Amino acid sequence: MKRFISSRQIIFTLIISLFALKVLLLPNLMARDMGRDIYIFTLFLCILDFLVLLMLLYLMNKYNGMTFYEIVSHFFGGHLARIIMLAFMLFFFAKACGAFQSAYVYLNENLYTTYTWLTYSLPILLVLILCVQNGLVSFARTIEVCFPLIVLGFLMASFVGVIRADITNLLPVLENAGGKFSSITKFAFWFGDYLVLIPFFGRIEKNKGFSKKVALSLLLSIALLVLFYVIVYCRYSYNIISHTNAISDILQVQPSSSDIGNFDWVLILIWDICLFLYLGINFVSASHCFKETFYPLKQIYVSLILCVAVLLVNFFLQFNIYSFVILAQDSLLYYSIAVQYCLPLVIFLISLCKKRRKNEVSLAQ
Amino acid sequence: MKYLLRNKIFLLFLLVLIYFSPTAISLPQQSRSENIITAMGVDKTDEGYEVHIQYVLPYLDSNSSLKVMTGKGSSVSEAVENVDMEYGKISGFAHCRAVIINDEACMEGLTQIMDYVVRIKTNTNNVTLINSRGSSKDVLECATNLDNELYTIINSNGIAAEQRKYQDLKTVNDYYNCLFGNCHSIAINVIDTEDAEEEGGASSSGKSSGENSTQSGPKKSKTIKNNGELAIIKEGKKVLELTDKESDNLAWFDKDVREGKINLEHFTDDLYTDASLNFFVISKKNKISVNFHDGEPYFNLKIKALVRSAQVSQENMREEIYQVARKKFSPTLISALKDKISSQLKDAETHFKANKYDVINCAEYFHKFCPREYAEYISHLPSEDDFITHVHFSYTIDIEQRR
Repeated sequence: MKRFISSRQIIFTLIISLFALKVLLLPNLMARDMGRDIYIFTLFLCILDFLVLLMLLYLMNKYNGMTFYEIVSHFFGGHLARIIMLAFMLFFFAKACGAFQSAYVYLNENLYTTYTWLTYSLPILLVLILCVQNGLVSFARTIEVCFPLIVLGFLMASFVGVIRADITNLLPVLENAGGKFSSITKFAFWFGDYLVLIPFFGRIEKNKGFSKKVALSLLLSIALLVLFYVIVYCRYSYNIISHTNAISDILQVQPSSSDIGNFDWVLILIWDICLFLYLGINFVSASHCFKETFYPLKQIYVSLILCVAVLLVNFFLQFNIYSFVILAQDSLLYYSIAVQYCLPLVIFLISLCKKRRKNEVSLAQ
Repeated sequence: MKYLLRNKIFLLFLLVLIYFSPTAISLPQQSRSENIITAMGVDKTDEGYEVHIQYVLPYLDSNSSLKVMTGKGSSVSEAVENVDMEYGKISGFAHCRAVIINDEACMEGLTQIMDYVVRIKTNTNNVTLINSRGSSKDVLECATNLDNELYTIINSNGIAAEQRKYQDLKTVNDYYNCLFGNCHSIAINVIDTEDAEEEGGASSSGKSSGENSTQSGPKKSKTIKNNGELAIIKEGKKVLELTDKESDNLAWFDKDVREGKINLEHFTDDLYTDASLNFFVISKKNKISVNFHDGEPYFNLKIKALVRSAQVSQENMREEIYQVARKKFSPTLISALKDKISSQLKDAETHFKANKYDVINCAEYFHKFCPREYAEYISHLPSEDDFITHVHFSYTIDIEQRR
């Protein structure tokens, strides 16, 4: 029996993908180029992503019951479809590598300062293999269970951040805007997270108004994310560039005695869960695309190959987050733009021109 | 059992347990390998830097829970490294709440010290910055003898000061915001120690004793002195020190200082005759607006203060005066309170204009609200620092009585 994923689980997955990496180092990186206007440019990139999401939802509705690979092979034929899936696989793989490293750095900077890469990698990679083995439904259920805790953590950080935030720090708006707009593409890699919808094609139990629900939930989440950026800048102003973990640093609103301790550690632990889930989402998506590309390969081999590859990439980058940032802003920049925005746009445009044949409908159903 | 051994999650859990358990058991106690630092002192000496670290003693049987250790080096990082080497532990700054820097180091430049502080792995942006007139070691030892964290002592001004001081403690985050912003100046607290001769170990009121006495007879001890003076740090260097009175005047400009006090001497109206009146400012709200008028910058500060009577001293105390808490302030009294605040604001204005330091974020406000006019105006000035001397200040004070 084919098990389906509920629309609620899909919404939660998309929201976690939207938030996980964007509330750590990204405000710091963006502020170096965009200063106090980070929230405007984040909104701009989020809206671009939202348009991609609408395209994917359109595809999902039009080709109801078909997997993404089936849709793409219907448009381009089997060989080209495999190449496209390979492109998406590399994209998710790069995201998984970034998330793997971010989670390590996050733990290493905040909780376990003497944490070795082996102590971190071994259990995480084992869990990732298990995630892939157990399939999408189990993973989506895990996300559903953890989601309330993550929301609570995020709201707690935002609320505490508001206390000493000075809204005037956002002024003047769009000073030297031209220069800032030219550097917006540098941060494309941190966006495009709605593509994680790809492995879920044909696996969603869609109820009435599914697309509307997803779109509205994501719009609200984008508003919250932009509000978070506003709070972060209002709180830290120029010195945002020395805050590498925005969400946990924001809890340290003012110094407190050691008797109280570090309140931010609660949130660090909560956000670790979010990061691991985000890592899992991208890992599962990469393995899905990998399997579609190299079809007869067994699931366990796919996950083992990906685990070794993730580890090798991180070895190559020496578990240094800034090496990855350089890679993401340099070598991966055009690739991520092509996969995030151009490829979905092309597929969407073709789907507009192409009519779905009757036998495909019956086959999918 | 068979079912358990087939369960993937159980097997994974077992694997993680097998991998981690021996490692965790073989590890030494973290308190043996890491010092929990609560405050750091930095002194500039002829040889380089002397770093003093107040840390927590992780033993229950010791008399004091805190201790101070010292290291020397040509830079702060080298000095901390030497402390680590000498005591055989790594310095952990996650609980560090205060950095106290002596005058010489402040005058030479805070930025090189701060650079070490912000590069520490854990977040140290919320660490309080304090300037000590003498050696920072004395201050830390004083706090240690009191078995109290330096931050707790400084934050509870009532303990360590002769009078309660109403100031906002500045952090590393505030320091960098001023340095990267348009003002380039910040005012940080100054504290000091002084020798105090006590009898029987009783500490003098209003100051915190640096030594707990168990024996009778006169003994020498050091006390932390926090009279509310402020050090003006401009472009990362200490350029000036404000007296407690000048600091009190400046506090009216600070929107983060929400309480205060007002003293009126020789006040006479229908109720009082040549009275000395003390008032508490229960809450204070600052509203700042800036604008350019005829090409000139105007800074308008509106203060709304909620005030209650704290003490009345008058030779002939009438019954009516005892009921003063219930009586409405007379227009003369309100006017006198406004004049007093206004004169304090003007004194502060004269001082910062004369010495060209912008700790009230004046330039920042103009940059935020009138960016074009501000950029145009400062382009004609020899230096950005001169801007504050050209600003016209106006004050509106609103007094509300809490009965």
